[in-house]
Amino acid sequence: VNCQEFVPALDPYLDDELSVLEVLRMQGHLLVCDRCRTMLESEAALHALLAADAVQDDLPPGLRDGILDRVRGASSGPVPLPSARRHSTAAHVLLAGLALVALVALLLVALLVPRVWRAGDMPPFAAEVAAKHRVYTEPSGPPLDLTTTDIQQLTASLERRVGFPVKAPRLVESGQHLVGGRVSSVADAPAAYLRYEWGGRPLSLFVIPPLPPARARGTEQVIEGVELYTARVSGITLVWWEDAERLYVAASTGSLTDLEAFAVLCVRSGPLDRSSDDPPAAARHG
Amino acid sequence: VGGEVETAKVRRFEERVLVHVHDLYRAALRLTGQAPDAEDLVQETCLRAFQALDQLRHPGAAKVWVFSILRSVFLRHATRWSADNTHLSLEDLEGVALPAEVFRAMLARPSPFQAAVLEEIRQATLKLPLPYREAIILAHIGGFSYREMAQILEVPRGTVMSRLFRARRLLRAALREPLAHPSRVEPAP
Repeated sequence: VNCQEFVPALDPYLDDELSVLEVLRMQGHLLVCDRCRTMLESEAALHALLAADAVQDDLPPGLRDGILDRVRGASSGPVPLPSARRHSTAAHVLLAGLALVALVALLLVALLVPRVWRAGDMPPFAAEVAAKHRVYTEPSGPPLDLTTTDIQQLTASLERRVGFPVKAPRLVESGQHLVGGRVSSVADAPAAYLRYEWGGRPLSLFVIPPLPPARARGTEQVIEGVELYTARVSGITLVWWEDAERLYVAASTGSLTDLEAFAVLCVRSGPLDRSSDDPPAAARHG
Repeated sequence: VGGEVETAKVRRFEERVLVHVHDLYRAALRLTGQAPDAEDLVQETCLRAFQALDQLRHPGAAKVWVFSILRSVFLRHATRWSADNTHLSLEDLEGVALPAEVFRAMLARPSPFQAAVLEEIRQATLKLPLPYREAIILAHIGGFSYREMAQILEVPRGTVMSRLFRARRLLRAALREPLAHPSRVEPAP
């Protein structure tokens, strides 16, 4: 991919319309072209703004139930749809009051809860991590270096190859397990990549050397003394935090709640005990 | 027996159509520009979807199907539900590209400013010509693929891509100098 081919493919790239091979080619070009990377960041920011705007409006109170009532009524005969414009003045006053309360509540919520839907804190690595999550979890994506459910074996292997400690949770709940990992890169730096299954969805964890502070803005919430940040890129939810001088980025198409729960487990997981006598799990190199 | 059949149909309606009511409302709000109109549009869409529910062959396609109904109902009443007759102009937009740094600076401001930016993009979206507005709504609210959007809009996939590209160019242009220069949202010639 060269610059002439990259630019028209930007929208499909961010809209998840490219094949895995095309995504990899785009990413290959990004590694060598700062100008196109800047354009990508600009486009990704616009997408993030649109995504943030897209989830601003709550459903008017009573609309869902009203529809259901009318549908039930329609089962036994036609029922005219009351127009939302035909509310009485009193109803308007009541609705205005409710809207004001809802607006205040929304503002409070916006200030107090993680701002996953707001684009303000989207770091430059977000698009890259989201794209790699998608590529790595595609059935036809690049193979894992090591497929194993043994977290000790995987982290030891990755640490040897990336040259820094990797902390990752040992999942014990039903429906949650480690799949394997590989050496990757984020922002041109070596990264450890671990893939989990969480609630029937693939969950990616990237462990990266710390990036300059300016590249990870926006405080979200503090868990176990660690500041957690969130973002959403093209349908993929990202949660990231710094721990022991490493940047951890978890990505999934699942819910923010699931990712936060995973992050908490990761933060709480202490240094792995290499002498543990856990039974070794089956492993194969990919 | 008839009652059980109707109860089952209402349950299917809830599972296949009503689960999308939030996205339908958000889309309707951006099509009509007014909350009461959006409510009317969603209600009429849902009732029509319920009446035609037996025509829905593939439950997995329910969202595309109900958004097609939403669009059809909206277009039928487009003169009544018109978001705005002042559109962004496509002229003089060649080469418009907003540096990532400008976006970052905009987004790095405190939240009141962010709210203003989001309001700005909402207003700019409402002023998009309908074909471009539809594309933005389906992509960012519906979360549809190009293929699904082509199905809803009844146009080729290439047209979807072209409309999305142009819509985003227009929005970039509208946001180039946020707040300070509202005149960038110009009436169509």
